[in-house]
Amino acid sequence: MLTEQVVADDSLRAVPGGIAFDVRIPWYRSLPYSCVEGLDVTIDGQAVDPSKLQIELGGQDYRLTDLPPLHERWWYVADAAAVTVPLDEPPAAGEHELDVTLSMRIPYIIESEVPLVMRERCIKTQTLSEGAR
Amino acid sequence: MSSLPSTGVTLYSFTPDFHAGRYTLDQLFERAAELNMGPGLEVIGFQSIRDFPNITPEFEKHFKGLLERHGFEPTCLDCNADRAVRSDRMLSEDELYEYLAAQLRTAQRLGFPTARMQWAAPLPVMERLVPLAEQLDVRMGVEIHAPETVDSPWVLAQREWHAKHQSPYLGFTIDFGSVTTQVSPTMYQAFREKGVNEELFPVFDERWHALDGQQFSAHEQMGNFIQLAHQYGAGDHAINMSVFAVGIHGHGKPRMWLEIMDQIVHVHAKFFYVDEDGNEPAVPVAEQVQALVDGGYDGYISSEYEGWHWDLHSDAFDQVAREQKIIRSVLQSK
Repeated sequence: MLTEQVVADDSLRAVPGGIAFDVRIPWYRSLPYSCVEGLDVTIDGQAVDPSKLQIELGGQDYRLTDLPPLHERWWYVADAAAVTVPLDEPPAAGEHELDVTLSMRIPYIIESEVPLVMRERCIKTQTLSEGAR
Repeated sequence: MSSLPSTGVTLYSFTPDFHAGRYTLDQLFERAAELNMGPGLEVIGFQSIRDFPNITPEFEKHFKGLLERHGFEPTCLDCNADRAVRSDRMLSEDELYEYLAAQLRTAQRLGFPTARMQWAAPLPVMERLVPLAEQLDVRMGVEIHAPETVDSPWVLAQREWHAKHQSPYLGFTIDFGSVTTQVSPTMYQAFREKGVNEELFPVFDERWHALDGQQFSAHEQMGNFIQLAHQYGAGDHAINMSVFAVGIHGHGKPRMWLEIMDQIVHVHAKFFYVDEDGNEPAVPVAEQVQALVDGGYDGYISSEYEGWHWDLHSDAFDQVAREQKIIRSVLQSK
């Protein structure tokens, strides 16, 4: 659902020590942080170790492993979450391919006691206007 | 003569516009009013309201002001039975009761006469909510949504409960997507454009029709469809195609609604695409409206456009206007 929205348009930017982009919740409604089941990021064909990703939700930075217990914090459907990818080398200006899969547990679609997990893969090429500061 | 149903719209129809930030909640009210989509107005709590089910007195005032300014009647607040909200375990019945009670109270505060509930909350939880619903005077309608029908096991259990208790506070919200004649051709078109193998579609279609008139496990069928899609190399699209085919295209018949007519508290007139000539190839909209009229339903028929899952070309506002034309023509012929 809303697959094409996972990577927010024109959101790729250089940040100290890496690059960042925004992700959007690929569902029609808000879900708590605990429903984030996975985030896989590949940049220019290089898979990023998920434990290195930093995700900013509601003004706070998290690692993916921080999220499962947070079932009372809500990712509002209209809000973007900033994902920061640390890079050893400063990113080059120009085009980069973002291949992002965001997996969300849908907490009310439960068949045979197994909640549905939607895995939405979105691939977008975005331009980094300048390299790392 | 009994009175006729009223038309209305759920703002869920405009999900992509809201999600992308093209319209705020206030702007959706304005546009829906301009296009005469009322009088009924429905929202999903967890979509339209930040921090739902918590609302501030300021939001309450603002929301009621929007309804009044644009001449809408609040119809239904959609609640979610998020039993799997925790990562480590399912919510207990006590926890789910509290989770839904909070949403029901918000429905009352915002002036909604009905609340959409979901069958992820089992009957014992729903029964426990009945006294609160009575006290708040908000009728609960557990949604019968594809692939469920009036004969699905949980529906039968609730019908039995109703036969014993006759409470108007626990009934059903019905979804027109439970009654479809085929998978929407626009869905195949969208996946064709994404490069899915053309040969998959007729096989997919055949598999879908094989479920007509059958009782089946949605979970199992979802798995079967996903596997089939993978056999044809659908890759990343396999899950979405299968969730759409099994999960929002049901196999019921329009007249089945007559069996539970006295328990219907709200109606989602789900549809996927209405063409320029007013035809919906997958959802028999007019037939379902006719069944409701014949059964004496006099609540709201809330237009719910859901083609946006795959159809990136159609305008949601235009689509709702087209569906309402069908609905109104049935109502006006009475």
